[in-house]
Amino acid sequence: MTSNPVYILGISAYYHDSAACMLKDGELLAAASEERFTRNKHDDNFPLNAVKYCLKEAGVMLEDLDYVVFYEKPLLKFERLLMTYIQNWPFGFRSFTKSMRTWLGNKLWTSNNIQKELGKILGKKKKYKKGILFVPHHISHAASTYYPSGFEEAAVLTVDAVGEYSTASYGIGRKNKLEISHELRFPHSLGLFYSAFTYYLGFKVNSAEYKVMGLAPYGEPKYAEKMKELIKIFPDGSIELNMKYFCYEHALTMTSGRMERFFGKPRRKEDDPLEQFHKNVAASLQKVTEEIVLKMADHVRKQYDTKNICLAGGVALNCVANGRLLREGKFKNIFVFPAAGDAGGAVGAAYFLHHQILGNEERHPFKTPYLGPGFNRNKIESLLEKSGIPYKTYQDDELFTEIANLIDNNQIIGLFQGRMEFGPRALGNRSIIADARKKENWQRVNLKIKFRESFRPFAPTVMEDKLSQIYDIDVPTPYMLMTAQTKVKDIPATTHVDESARIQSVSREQNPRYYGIIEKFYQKTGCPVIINTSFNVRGEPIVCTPEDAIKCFIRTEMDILVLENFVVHASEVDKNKLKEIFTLEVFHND
Amino acid sequence: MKAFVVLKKIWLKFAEIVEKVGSTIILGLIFYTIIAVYNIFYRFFGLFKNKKVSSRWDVFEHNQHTMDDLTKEF
Repeated sequence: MTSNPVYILGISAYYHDSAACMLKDGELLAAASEERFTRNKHDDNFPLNAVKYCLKEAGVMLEDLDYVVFYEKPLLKFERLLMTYIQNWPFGFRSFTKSMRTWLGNKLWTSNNIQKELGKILGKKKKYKKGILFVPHHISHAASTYYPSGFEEAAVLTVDAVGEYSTASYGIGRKNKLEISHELRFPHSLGLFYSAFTYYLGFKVNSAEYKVMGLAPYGEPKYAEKMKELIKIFPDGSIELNMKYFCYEHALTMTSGRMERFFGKPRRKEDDPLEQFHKNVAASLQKVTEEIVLKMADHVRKQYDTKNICLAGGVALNCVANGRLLREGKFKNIFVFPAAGDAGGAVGAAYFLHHQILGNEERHPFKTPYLGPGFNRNKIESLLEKSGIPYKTYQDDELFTEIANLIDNNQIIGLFQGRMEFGPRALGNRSIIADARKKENWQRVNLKIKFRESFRPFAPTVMEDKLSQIYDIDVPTPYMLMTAQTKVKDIPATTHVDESARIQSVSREQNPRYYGIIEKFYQKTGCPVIINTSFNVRGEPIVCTPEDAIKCFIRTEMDILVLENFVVHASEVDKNKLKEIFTLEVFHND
Repeated sequence: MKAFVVLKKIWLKFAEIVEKVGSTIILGLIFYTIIAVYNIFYRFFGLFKNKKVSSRWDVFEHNQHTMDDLTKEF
C-alpha cells in the first residue's frame, strides 16, 4: 500500500518580495515570486498568483494541501516594533502612525488574511479552513539553504536586515536536523547598515543594494577606517552600530543628518550625478561588509568542526563577499540558495516543516533553479500568429547554431525558454544575451536595451568545463552568486574595472539548451563566454510570460527575440503596430 | 443626568474631532500616548527594558521543536 504524498505550500509575504513554493514529499516542485505575475517589482502583497501557479504545477487543488506555512512570526515582529517605539519615544510619531496603520489594518491578522486570500481560490466569500503554521524568519532562511544543500553536515549562517528580532544567526545542520544556536539582534544589523548606505548614496532601499556592490570597484576604500566609527566590529563578527547616525529605528529614513555631517556631504539625490566620493563610499562599505562576513564565518567555523557552510539572507546575495569567503578557503564547500532573500523564506519554511517537525529524513538536494512557469510551444506559436509577428522556426540543434551566429554578428538577443528561474538572477531561461568580446556592448545593452545606469557591469555565463581556464575559480558557480578574477583579456564586456566578474557557470546537465547555445558559440569563435543579463528593463520584474517578453522586445532596441524555437528579427517587425496590440506598462525606476 | 449630558457633549466633540482629523491619526495619538507612558516607566524605573537588544552573539531563543510551536504566531 502506498501512502498519499504530503503537499506543503510555503508562503512569504507582507514585507517585500512575496513568493510561494510547493513541496511534494520534500521535493521542491515549484517556486515563484509574485512580482513576476503582477509586474510590480518587489511586490509585497499576498502571492495569490504564485500560489495558483504552484497548485497548477503540482496538479493539486487547495483542498489537497496538507500544510500551509508562513516564513515568519508576525506577532513577534509586532512586539519588536512596539518595544522599539517605546525606547525611542518621543521620536518616531510619523513612522509609528504609518506602521500602525498597516499592522492594525492588515499584518496583525496574518493568519486570517492568509486564510481569506487562499479562500479566493475556492470561490466567492469562501475561506481556507485549515490552520496556518509559522516558522521564525531566520530559521526559514537557514532551512532554505541547509536542506537543499545536500550536505550531511554544515554550518549555517544567515545575515539579513531584520526578521523578528534577529538580524543574523548561525547554527548547525546535521542530516535532517537544523539547530540555530546564536543570533544578533535589532538594531545591530549588517543588512540595515548596507541598506543605510544604499539610501545615503541615493539608491532605493531593499531594491538597489546590488547597484552599490556594482559601484564599489570604481572607488577606493578610503573611508573604510572612518566607517568603523559608525560600526564597531568585534573579533567574532558581531557588530554594534552607532545609532546616532542611523534613524531606521524610528524614522522613515535610514540615516540622520549627523551622517551627512560625518562625511561632509549631503545625501545624494536619485538623479544627482555619481561623483568619485560616492564610489569611494561604496568601495569602503563593500570592504567593511566583507570584513564582517569573513569574521562571522570564521567565528562559525570555530564553533563547529565542519568544512561546509550554507549561507542565506539578503546579505548572502553579496556575491563579492561570497567569492572572497571561497578564496579565503576557510570552508571547502559553500552553498548559497539562489533565492537567498525573503522570497526564499517561503521555501525554507516549507523545508523546515517537512524535515525538522515532520521528521522526514530523506533529503532532496537542490537540482534546478528553474522552478517557475514554462509555456507550451503551440501557445507561443499561436500568440505570434495572432499578433502578426513574422518568425522562423528551428529544430534545437539548428537553433543553437543560429543563435551562436547571431551573437557572433553582434546581435543582442532576448532569450525566453523553458521554466522561469526562482530568485533574483536570470540564468539563461529569461535572459538577454550578447557577445562578451565586444566592449561597446557594455554601454549598448545598458543604455539602449536596459535603460539603466551606465556604470553597471554585466555578468558572464561560461561553459562549466572552461570555467577555470577563464576565471580564477575552480568550483562551479551555477547561480551567479560568486565573483572571481578574470584571467583573460578578450571578454571586456563582462569584466569589471577591477577585473572581477559575477560568474554563472552552466553545465549541460543543468541547462542543456543554454549550454548548447554557448557551446556552438565556442565552437565557432573559441570563446566560451557570453553576456547574460536579466530579460527586463530598469524597474521591471524579469519577464514571466511570452507576452511579457514580446512587450520588453517592443520597448527596447533588442535585435532578436527567441521564444523557445521561434526566432523573431526586430528588422522584420513593425514595433509601432505591435504597441497597438500589446499594452505597455509603465515601470518606475528602481 | 447632567453628567450624562456633559459626557455626551464630550463624546460628540470627540467624534467631531475624529471626523475632522481622521481616525487613524487619533488612534495613533492614543497609542502614542500609551507608549509615552510606557517610555517613562522604561526610562526612569527600568521596567519593560528590552533585554532582547544585543550587539553580541546571543543565544537564539526561538528554535521550534513541535508542531504546536509552529501554530503560534509569536
